[in-house]
Amino acid sequence: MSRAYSQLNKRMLKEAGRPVARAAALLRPRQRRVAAAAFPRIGPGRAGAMVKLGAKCLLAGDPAVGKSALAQMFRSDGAHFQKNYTLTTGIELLVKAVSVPETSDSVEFFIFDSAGKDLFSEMLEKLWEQPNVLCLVYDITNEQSFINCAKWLEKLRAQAVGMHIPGVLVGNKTDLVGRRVVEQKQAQEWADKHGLEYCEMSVKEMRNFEAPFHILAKSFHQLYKEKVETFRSLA
Amino acid sequence: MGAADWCRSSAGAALVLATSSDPQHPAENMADGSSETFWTTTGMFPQEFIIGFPKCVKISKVAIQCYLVRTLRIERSISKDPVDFEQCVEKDLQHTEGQLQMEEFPLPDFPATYLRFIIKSAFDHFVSVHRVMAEGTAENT
Ligand SMILES: Nc1nc2c(ncn2[C@@H]2O[C@H](COP(=O)(O)OP(=O)(O)OP(=O)(O)O)[C@@H](O)[C@H]2O)c(=O)[nH]1
Ligand SMILES: [Mg+2]
Repeated sequence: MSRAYSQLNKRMLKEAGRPVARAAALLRPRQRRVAAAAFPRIGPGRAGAMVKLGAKCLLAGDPAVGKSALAQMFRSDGAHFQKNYTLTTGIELLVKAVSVPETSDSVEFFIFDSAGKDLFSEMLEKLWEQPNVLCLVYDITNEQSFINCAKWLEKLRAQAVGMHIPGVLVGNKTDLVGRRVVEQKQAQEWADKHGLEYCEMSVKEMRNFEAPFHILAKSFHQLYKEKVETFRSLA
Repeated sequence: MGAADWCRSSAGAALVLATSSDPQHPAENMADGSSETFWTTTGMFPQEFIIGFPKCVKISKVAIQCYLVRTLRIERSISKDPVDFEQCVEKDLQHTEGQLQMEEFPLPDFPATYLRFIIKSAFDHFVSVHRVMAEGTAENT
């Protein structure tokens, strides 16, 4: 458990690059020293600059549905598709920013690519604390992976009771046309019922693989705007 | 003679660090003496900011006006630079729907050159901090 944490810390520091200090603070709350220089400096003359939101994104779903394929494809801007299946153990962290359409703002996702085989693992739950957005993936050729979305969603939502967490349900492997067993309509209805956005993609054919993150970025940005309006109304 | 509020920019206080930045709601808004302007967090928790005084001040009370903050820790430093912080107080705040959280922390007079506020967790994705105040008297140098 603590080893998983420290590995994740190292990974996070490596991945995060520029926001190193913030990433460190995220996972090492007990860290005493401030790397003051690494934080954004406060100062005048930054008018017109934009906002970069940070979001912890939980990426979950059954084994082999294509979560890691999605995360890697997205992070590499379509340059990398992993043909061979390497199952994820624990959590892999990937960091990637996307701009929010029609604004000058962006959302930096800290994507927690979770192991599908760990549906009932307590370690996952610990690492999932304080999520901001959810990305729930199933395989359109594997009915069980769709059915299990209910269990995944329950686990994910339990992390943030009483809070609105934007989420997207993603059907992957649309390239396997003849093997489809989960219909779009059925998935769309399930998503609606559970307050999730919905989309389909084929990571393999690089079709629509950015859609889930664009959807989440938009929802999260909207949430921020609404919160700021609330803050404004308080005084 | 009332103790001065040392967390005002007009008293020489400076925000030396903040882990979130929205140019429309900058960290300086916490030190402008107004509850109407605020700083917002834009990312994951913990979030923090550090406020520096023009000289060493003996602090008797710290106060904050904020919204949606859950666990707050306040630390102080007496160094010339914002390092070597030690904890003053940590508290779980109550959620006050639709109203600012107004928290006061009476403290045994202690000297400080910097105060560090760490928002360890929140009731929502984002929080706002509208004002911070520190009452005290300047140390004789
Ligand atoms: N045909 C097809 N195969 C895909 C697609 N996306 C991923 N795969 C393949 O599916 C297999 C599993 O992909 P992963 O991304 O490793 O699956 P995962 O969801 O991360 O699995 P776990 O880490 O075990 O939870 C790999 O062999 C991928 O190449 C797709 O869109 N179409
Ligand atoms: Mg994987």
